[in-house]
Amino acid sequence: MTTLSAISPPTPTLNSLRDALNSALRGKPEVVERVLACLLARGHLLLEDKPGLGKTTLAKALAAAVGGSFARIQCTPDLLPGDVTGFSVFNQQTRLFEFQPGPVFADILLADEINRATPRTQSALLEAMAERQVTVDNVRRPLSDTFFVVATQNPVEHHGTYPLPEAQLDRFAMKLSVGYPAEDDEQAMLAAAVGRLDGQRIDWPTILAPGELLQLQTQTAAVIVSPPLHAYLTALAKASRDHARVSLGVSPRGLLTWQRVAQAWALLHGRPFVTPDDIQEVAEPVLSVRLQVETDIALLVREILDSVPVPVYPS
Amino acid sequence: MVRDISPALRVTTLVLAAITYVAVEVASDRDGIPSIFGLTFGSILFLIATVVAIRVGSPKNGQRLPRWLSVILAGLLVGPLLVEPLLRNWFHVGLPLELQLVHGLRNLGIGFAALAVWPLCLRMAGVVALFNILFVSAMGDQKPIPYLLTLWAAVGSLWLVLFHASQWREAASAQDVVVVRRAALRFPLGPLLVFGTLAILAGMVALVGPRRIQLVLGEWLPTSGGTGDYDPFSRGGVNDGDEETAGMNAQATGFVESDLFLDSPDPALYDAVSDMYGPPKSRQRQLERMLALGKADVRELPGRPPDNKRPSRDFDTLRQGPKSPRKPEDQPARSLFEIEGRTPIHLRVEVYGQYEGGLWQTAERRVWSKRFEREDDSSWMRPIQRDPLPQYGPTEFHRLKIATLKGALIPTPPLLERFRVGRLNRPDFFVWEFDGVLRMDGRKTIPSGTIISTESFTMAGESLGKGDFAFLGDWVSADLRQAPTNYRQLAKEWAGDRPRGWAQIEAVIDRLRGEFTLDPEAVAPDDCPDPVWHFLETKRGPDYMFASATTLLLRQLGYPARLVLGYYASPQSFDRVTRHTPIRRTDLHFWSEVLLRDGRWLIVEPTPGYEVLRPRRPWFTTIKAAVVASAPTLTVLAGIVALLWWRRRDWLDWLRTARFRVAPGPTWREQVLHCLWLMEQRGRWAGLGRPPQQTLSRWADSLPLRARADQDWNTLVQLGEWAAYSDQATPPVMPNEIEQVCRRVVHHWTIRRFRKMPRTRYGPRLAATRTSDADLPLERSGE
Repeated sequence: MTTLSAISPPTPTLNSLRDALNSALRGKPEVVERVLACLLARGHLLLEDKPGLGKTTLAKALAAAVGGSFARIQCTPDLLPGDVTGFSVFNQQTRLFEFQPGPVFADILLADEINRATPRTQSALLEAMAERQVTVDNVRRPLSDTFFVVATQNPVEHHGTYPLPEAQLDRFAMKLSVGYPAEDDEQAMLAAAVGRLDGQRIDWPTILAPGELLQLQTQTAAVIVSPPLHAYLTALAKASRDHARVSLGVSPRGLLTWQRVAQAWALLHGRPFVTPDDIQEVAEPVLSVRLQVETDIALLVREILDSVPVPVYPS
Repeated sequence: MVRDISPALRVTTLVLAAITYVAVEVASDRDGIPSIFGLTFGSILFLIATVVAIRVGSPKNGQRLPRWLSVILAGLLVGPLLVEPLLRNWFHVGLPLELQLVHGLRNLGIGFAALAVWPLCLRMAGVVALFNILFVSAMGDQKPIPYLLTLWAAVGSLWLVLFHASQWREAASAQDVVVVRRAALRFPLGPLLVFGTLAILAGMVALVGPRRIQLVLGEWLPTSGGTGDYDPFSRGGVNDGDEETAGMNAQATGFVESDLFLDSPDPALYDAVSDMYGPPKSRQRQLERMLALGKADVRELPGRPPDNKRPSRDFDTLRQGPKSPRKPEDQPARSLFEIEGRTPIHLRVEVYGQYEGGLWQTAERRVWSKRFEREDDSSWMRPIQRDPLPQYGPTEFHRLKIATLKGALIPTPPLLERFRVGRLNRPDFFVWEFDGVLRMDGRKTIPSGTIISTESFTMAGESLGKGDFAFLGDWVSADLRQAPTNYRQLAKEWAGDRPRGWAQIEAVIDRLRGEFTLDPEAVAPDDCPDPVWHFLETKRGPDYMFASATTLLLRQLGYPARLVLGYYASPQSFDRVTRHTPIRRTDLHFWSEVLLRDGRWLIVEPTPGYEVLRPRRPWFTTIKAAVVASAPTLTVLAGIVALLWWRRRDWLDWLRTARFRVAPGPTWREQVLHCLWLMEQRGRWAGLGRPPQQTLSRWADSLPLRARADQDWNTLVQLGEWAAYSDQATPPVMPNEIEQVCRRVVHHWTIRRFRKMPRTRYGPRLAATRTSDADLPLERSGE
């Protein structure tokens, strides 16, 4: 059994990480919190929002903060799978084929406007996101231990796009919308940009030491989830499957992701165990990437949460 | 793997339970006629059981019977025991204890049948039905029982076939699945309890002695005899009811409906009459010269002959009055006989017809060629008489339990429809001593312990019309018309201009009851030629004067009337313990009767303080009267109940708080959850309860700011999350601090404080981030 001292939350480290991201993405602490939860849960993130809201900035700052490498793919219809995974090139000197790793081998991968890539290219990301490895020329090549995909897509423009298949959507831990910042935050942003050249590289601070992210992720996986909460999660999953307006409910893989994200949420709040609050807090971003509904996802999630009683007392 | 119970088997179980119910109901009634109450209740219960059986789904694998259903089943079992006191008090019906238990099992059987989707309930339904039907077959001797047993056997056989078929299917399907369960190593609490109980019982036997234990255990079984308690609704146990075990010695045993009779040398009714009203005075003017007889014609007696040996059984209204005050406690026995049934009731014993000079002469005995006819194969005897008047009310059932009654005359209620004496089944055992007075033919006494059952009509005099009374025609004996002529004027004066019929009779009764005084000591002077007329002048006298005057006045008004002596069962004498009315010698009473068109005699009761049994009121009228009678008690009870209901939350909270203070819980986790539960209850009662879909912290955040600012409160909520969702054995803070926090919260956050909080709407469900546990204000025990 995990003891209290072993699960002691690394609050200072996480607070620093939180501050760094909040300084990169002003006025969006709740988005930052969920991004961190997604990172600690070893999930992948789908950002769906309009252009120019700081998605790339957030990804870059995140990569810098966790001390990893950052790569970006601008997805277009002519993007090939090899452009993502890498390819072998014949070396005239060594007379051997040498593998040139693609951007997928970075620690943080930003797949910008992923829905503009063809399904063939999108599926190239499937193995990488699910199994943290790629197979090129029948050779399996493991990715970084802290491989984290931040994909973006534009909800407005649908011409020339290829909607992500449900199998691929299920590989994302959560879907977030950044949203427009508040006026105060926009004014602060403007004030900070005065005197800085356009396109000038910003050096985001590095917070985590090498290997520290993996340690945090290991601690996240060890956060306690009591049996009543297992029952609560399965009841919620069943409620999502039985809901009249949901065509495809939460899959068992999605349920595992929900639990991991809830564990991360608990760790982010300095708790060595998950509470129903954690499950409810992360319900909307986790479910919104999985439940294909036309209407307001927040309302739907609320209906699902309201249909299942919260376990408090032992039965 | 548990297979679903087939619908056919469930339906058969329900049918089996229904047949068992009817069989128990039939066996519970003496005559095999199920009570309306029982059938109505059974129908409702069966209907509910059917609905439940249809709606309840098959339990999931391993799902146990919900606890609340067990509570309902227990309620069905003990329900008859709880309802019994109400039935006895309100409706004067009841069952012996063993039948109450069987009825509880009967209801339980239907409950099990309704829940037959659970294999345990299915088996229990079969076991309970079997037990009940065995009881019925052993105890019931009513006519429908054999048919019901046959039907039960048929349905029971089908049930067994279906049951075993389902078992076979289950076994066949179980071959595919091998379930290996690890035997749980548990503390053998159950066997230890059984062993401990047996050890204590053995110790008690050793200390007290087996004989004593045997006696005590025997007292648990009402029908085993010897309990010493009295239950008027018991059946067949020694000392346990009104009917007791029959024995060879009728004097030594209790009441029994048998044909066992013994002669008794006890003196006859006329000693009682003399005791009650005093011996008659000697009439000087009636002395006649007597001629001495020869020695051969004279038989010497050792002493003064008793009254009942006198050649005449006439009643002389010129009497001396009782010699000494009579007290019931002076009587050697409790009563002459006891009456079970509704009172007041008049029971005829002696009838007087002709009145001459103050002397009532016994009425003529009437003899019919065929006097009674027997009902079917039973021992019920029905007098052969004309069809009853349509105005008669429903019949009343009475049982007379003879104790020390002397003579062979059977106290007979008026308007008798049928009767039964023990199990005597020959009509020629009975004769009419007088018109309307039964006597056992050829016997001197009715043995003690005899039970006489009677069924007689009730009558409201005001419902009779003019033509319902008999006229003084030729078919009426001249004795019943005879009255001194000097009463005519008085009778007409009292009747006034009222029409013929009950109105005239009522006028006479009202005058006597209103203007005359009942005085048993008032006697006419010795030289009074007509004591009844003297009574009419003095307006004071004993009951026989009232009855005599009524009889004579009614005769002068043209109604065939007679004077009747008998016993009056007063409602004031009703013994609430035994639920019987004892009849003593002091209950001898005179009244008058008027002949009706159908040949039956209607009681006319002129004596103040005596009433006539009227038709039973409808049940709602009875309930209304009972409610009115017990209005003060009901008002107080209603007030208490209303007060308890009004303040139910306060005293329930007080009880729960006391429980928390005494036993908050063995572990820190249970203490915290107990405290939180208590707070939730208080919040719920104050309108600030936690919806089941809301988390603890959300609920705490939704409370007004005052609560959220309380340190103890916040600590409790966070501890609650630790207790509910962390499986660590180590508490986050020191255990004594946890207990202190809980006690402080329970003390400060009272239900009143919750009520004073302003009502707020609950915040948005997915609200902003909540407070981190890093802010927990107490020091962690692990750090």
